[in-house]
Amino acid sequence: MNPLILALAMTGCGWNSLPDQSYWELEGPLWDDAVVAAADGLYMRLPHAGKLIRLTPPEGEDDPGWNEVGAWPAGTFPERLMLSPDGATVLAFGSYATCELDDETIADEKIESVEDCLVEDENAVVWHDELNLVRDGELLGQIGLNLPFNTVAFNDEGTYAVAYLDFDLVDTLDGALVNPNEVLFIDLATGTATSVAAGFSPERVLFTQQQDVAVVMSRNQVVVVELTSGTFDTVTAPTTTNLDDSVVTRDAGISPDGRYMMMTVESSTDLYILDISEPMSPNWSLVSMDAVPADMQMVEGLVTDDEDDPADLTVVTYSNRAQVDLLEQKYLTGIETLELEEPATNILAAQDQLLLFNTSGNDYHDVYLLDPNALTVEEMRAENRVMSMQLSPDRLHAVAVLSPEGSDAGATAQEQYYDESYGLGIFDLGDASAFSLVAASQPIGVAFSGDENLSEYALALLQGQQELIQVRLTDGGASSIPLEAPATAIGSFGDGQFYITHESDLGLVSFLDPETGSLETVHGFATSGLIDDETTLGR
Amino acid sequence: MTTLLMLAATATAADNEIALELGTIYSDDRSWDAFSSDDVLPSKGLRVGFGVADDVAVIGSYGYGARGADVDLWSTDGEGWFSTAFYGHQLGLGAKVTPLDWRYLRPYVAPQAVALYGVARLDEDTGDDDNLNQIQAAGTAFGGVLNGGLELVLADERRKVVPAAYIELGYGWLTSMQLDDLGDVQFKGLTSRFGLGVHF
Repeated sequence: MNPLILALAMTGCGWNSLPDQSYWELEGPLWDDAVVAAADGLYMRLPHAGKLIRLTPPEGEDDPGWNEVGAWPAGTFPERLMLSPDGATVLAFGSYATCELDDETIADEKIESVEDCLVEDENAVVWHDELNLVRDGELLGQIGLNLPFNTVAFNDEGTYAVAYLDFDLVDTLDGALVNPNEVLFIDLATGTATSVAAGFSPERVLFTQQQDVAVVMSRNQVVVVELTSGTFDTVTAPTTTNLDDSVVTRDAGISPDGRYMMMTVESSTDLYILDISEPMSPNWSLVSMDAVPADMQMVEGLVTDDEDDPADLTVVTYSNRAQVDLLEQKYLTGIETLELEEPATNILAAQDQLLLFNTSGNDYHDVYLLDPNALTVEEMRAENRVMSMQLSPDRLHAVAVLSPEGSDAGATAQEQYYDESYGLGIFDLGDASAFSLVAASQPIGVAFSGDENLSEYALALLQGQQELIQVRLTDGGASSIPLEAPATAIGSFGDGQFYITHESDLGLVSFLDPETGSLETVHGFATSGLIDDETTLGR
Repeated sequence: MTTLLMLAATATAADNEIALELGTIYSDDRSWDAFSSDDVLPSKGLRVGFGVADDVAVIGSYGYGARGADVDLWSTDGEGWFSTAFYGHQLGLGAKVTPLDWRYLRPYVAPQAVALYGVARLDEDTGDDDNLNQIQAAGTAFGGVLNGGLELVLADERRKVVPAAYIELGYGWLTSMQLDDLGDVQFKGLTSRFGLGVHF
């Protein structure tokens, strides 16, 4: 017997009788289950310890399945993680503190931590923001930020990232005077960053498919940024001439040919269209729609009336009008209207089709499959209201999370059973058929394998349930995989594997190989640095 | 008479001794807050001494102490909870020098080299003995203590074994104890010991 175990056993110190004379209170969780699933593993923040770690499926008993990101600077607290579109680069917003006392005082008083500095002068601690680029578990580089940027937009190729300040993500802003009029264009290949003035409170960034132009949407204006010359020339297109007006963007996109930027705005029936092919002379066109648009989707080359010159479409749905409008972008006119039985608030692009559905929470159950070539709509029906919808990787199936609802007076027992329950709606987009499954509790996550060959299955997590439900999309056949603990989220990463985060204070993540069905867990990682309660000063 | 004097000498300055001992060692390290809201690790154990000269004894000691805390995690997402515990096994080896050969009250100094083996445990569900998150980490610290003490010996020439009690105060310093990935904790500062035993 291990002498330590023997000694502990002799003194009555089993796991069930830990001494508990004291109480320790910590602010916030030890780990953030909002992980970033990169190609090489899961990246996760440890907010208490100020660490960034990477989790991977364990390879053998000696592999704990996690490690700290290499060269991560001591004293830097990762605060928000983003992933580049290619899944290779993690961008981690972080902050670190410096002690703004003279060198002599720092040396004499042996100031090594934020706490030491606060004792000397409570105003001497200054926090700095930076953006850290991480790849393959190692810190690639850092970019100092002169603004508390907190989010990033990427172009499709993942070559550019644009950092900006999203006020929706901000509780408080440090600093006596904050100028939220800039965005930061970052070349991810070189790590060079260029600041670009983009108007007050930038809130969204779009890129053309050609990667030659970026569009930054700010309060009451749109800034077009030219990317090819390297000088980041900008042209501003105000969305209103009346300073008292506030034009708030609701939805926006750039046409596949890179010519038009289109957007819908709150409380307006107008579709705002900006020709960005001539960025030096921006000119808004307004197309009046029948109601305030709820969702907008741009579709590439699906109209085949002229096979040599397929047109691009903009598809618009409404929350209070049972119709879908199709606008041919080439002419910005000729709106084709298709009637629906119920309004649709959301659009998803399936394979050669569009999926229309309603997540408003109102008593709507219809899900539509729109064929923009044939200009036809096929109706499917969910048993209950749709809360959310996800497409399978091959975009041939869709899975909806359905919410409970009240029953009609004449509802049958079966209908009442469905109505009172959460559920999953499975939609076959090939033959426009659907069926619904009843769930024991609220589905909190649905995932598909990133491998299209495995997209025959969806995996679902149910709240409070200690099992993972595997649903066959063709017939709804379900099986379950037992889990170590109730789960909080599911997602896929790497070459088709799944990860599951669990309810756990000290850290628990499972990895599922869908081909073998094997489940491996990584645990305890959140205790790293737990008792190191001094905040190291940064550079 | 000669025999009595020899016995008295045996049970006075160069005595052998054995005692049950309570002790504390101080830590103002913030890391220690994870295990205890008090800044000390208390211990209970045993001390033995062997007289090697008139005023010098070699002493060895073992002390065991355990502290633990319930930890609350507060966040906007709700409250979390887990338990921590620290088990310390302290070994000491040193000398006890009693320069004044008084009959009953004997002041002394006791320098000791100390090794502290610590085991930390974290458990997020103490009601489930099979949960995965029963985390254990261990580490060792080395150092020393220098205590000054006052011993009360109920010396009686007629007895080979006489009761004794002592109290010590002093200063201890140990290296940082690295508890695997959890972090490190250091003990340094005031030490105290209190013992009840016998001289023989």
